[in-house]
Amino acid sequence: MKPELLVSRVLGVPAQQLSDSTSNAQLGTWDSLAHITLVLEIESTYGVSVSVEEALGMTSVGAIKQVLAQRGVRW
Amino acid sequence: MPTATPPLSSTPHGLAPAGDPAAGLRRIVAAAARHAQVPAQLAMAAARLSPVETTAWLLSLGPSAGELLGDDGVAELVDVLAGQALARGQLTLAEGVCEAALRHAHAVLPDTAATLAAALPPERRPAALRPLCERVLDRAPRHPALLRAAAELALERGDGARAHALLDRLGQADPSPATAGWVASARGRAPAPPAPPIGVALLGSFTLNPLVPFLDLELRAAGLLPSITLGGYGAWEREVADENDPVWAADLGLGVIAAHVDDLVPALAGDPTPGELRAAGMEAVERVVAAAERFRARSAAALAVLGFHSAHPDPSGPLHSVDGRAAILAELNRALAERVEALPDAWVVDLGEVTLRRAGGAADEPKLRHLARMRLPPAALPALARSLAGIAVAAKGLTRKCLLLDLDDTLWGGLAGEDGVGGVRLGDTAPGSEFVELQHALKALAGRGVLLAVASKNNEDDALAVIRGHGAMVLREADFAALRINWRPKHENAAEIAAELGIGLESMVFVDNSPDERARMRAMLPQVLTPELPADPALFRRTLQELPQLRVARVTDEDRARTALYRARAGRMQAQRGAGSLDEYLRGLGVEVHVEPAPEAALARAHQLFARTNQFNLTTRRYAHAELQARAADPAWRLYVLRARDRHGDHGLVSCALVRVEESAWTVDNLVLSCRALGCGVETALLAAIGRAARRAGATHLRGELADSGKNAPAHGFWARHGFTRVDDGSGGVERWELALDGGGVAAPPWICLEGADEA
Repeated sequence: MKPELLVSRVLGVPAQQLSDSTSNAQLGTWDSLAHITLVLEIESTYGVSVSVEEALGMTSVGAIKQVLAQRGVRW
Repeated sequence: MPTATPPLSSTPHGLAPAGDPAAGLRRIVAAAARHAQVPAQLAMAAARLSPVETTAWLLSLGPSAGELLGDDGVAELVDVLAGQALARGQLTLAEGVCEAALRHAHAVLPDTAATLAAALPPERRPAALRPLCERVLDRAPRHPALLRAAAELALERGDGARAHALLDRLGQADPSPATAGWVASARGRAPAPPAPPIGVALLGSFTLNPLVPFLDLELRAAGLLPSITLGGYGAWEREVADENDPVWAADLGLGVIAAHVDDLVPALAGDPTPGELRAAGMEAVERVVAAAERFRARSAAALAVLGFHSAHPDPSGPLHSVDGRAAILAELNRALAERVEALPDAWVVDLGEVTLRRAGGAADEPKLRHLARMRLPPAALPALARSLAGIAVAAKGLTRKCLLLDLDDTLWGGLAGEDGVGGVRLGDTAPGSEFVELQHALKALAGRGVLLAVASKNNEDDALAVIRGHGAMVLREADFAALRINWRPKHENAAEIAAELGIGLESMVFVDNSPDERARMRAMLPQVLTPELPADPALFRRTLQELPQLRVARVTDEDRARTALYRARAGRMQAQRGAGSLDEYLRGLGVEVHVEPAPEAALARAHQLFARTNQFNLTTRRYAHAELQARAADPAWRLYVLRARDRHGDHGLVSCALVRVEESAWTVDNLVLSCRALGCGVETALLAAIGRAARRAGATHLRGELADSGKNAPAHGFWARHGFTRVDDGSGGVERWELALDGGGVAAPPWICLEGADEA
């Protein structure tokens, strides 16, 4: 699944409005609780484990993709 | 052989291969490289078309391959080439691929290296393979497939130290039973590493075999050389009492007593009162402590005793009640710890902690704790919410009052009308045990005031025959407030029962395995709660127990007789404790057996025993069900079955024998004994009963046979042990034994009370 689709599903924002630069500061629904849900969904969807520090840094769509790419995840 | 080359005709240069396609490809690749065009795709196409040429090209390329293709591209190319070589069985090519891969080992995928190592035959293994595996392993130190392949390589070249190190890492990297089992068996192919040896005895009341490879792994990782002896299934108490048991043979460093509280206190499957649970629980504590003390008297080895942790939930729900199950189990564990810790070098393991807090377990959520101060793992949230809903439902008085139950494939497996009393699946082994468990849970609900009723499409006589006549039924007619066994629509029966019992339809829960019946009930009577049931009947119980609308969070009455009961039971157990002899232990067990010619209802179990028993099986002759049925009715044969019980409970039908009857001599065609009854002498009691019946019928001799199946070691020596004389000449593979009955026949063991069979 494309990371944009996952983010869109969790945050309730249309996928076409998301770009790599979309960050938590720009989206009202991307609050701290939604962030936890996002991290859990990413872990279960892509079968990866994200460290606490990485999870804190995943504050934009691009940052999420970067962490996934480091894990060798392709979408 | 490829005939078309679509990727090529669409190359940006429009080059087409001329003459030798491989040579053409090489030119394409080279041209593409010169022009910095996407060479990765081209290289991949070339690899599929001409792996030999492409491998040669990759070898000639050296480090510049990385610049050209990128590391990912190199990795993928090597993977495609390896796949081509192996699929075509070209070993020379595979050697070349290994060479090329080694040159680019920094990029090669672990799976590629593992596939090459696993697929190439030992005699044609290229020299580059081992260094390739080692270098990729440096990058992917926890890759299971590669660790396994590298361990195989080390085993084959006899490098025991390296093999053990790799097996240690594999076991840690992939903690699955399959891998742990493979690791443990692979150890046998390497010489033992130099480490201090430790003997371990595992004695338990349940299946512990899957623990053995993990224990082997962890002890080795801790620097020890384990030799693990697994006791017989469920034989822990006898083994600890028997100084000749093989578990004592090893040089023991650690003993484990794994007696599960669900085995010791079967009432946990139902709804025992606090008093009953405390009494039965203390009896269980005494049994385990007695075993621990016997162990300590025989061996100075460290002793680990598993604490009590039940798989059965408290019917009140997950509550800390003063007299709830959690509180009582905590009391029992405390008593167990006090008594076990009083012994030197003995500990009690907290099983609840082990299962909750293991890595990835229900309580292991460090990440969420730090990220969000979440103290509860997401996986526990639905269950917590459900139990809170149960409390709310009870507080609002919305607890349902009546469970309307289907019969076929809901309360038992199969159809009463087709399978009959002897054929429905219901008993102490699966398939059938899951229905018994469900019935216990339903009975527990009935004990808390929920009415049980039946709505079943059946001939009434067929269904009642099972309810009244099946030995394993937990629920009997008297447990049901109303029965509607007929062919009418179930919603009509539901309405009738509600009227009869004076309750509203909105007080009913309808339980039926059939999705059609559930849909019909929902459509016709939406007031009746019809929960969705999983397809597997083994999950019915949990679904019903977790249903908030059935939560009866009753605060139980303090059982006034509790202390007296506790003291009386504890006192009786006290008398039995201490490191007594096996004989003493068996006498204390109070074994009672009942032997009889098999009644119709016992045929299925007898058939199952003959068919499944491997260990105590004299001749390993298996009989078809129809054959047993015919023999049971034939005066020239006798089929005997034996039921056993002791002070701890009823063990059911555990032994049977088929006997050929002739005027002067009876011959035991086969006799089997369930492994859960090994070691108590019940097989001797069965033989004694057969001898008695033979003598009564006027026979002068009892004969028997023994055939070594390679698996029936426990049955060897059976005839000699009972005074029989061997009469065959040793040829033919089957031993024949005989006993003259004028000498009194066979005596039942003095600790067994033998009933029945005389009338046979």
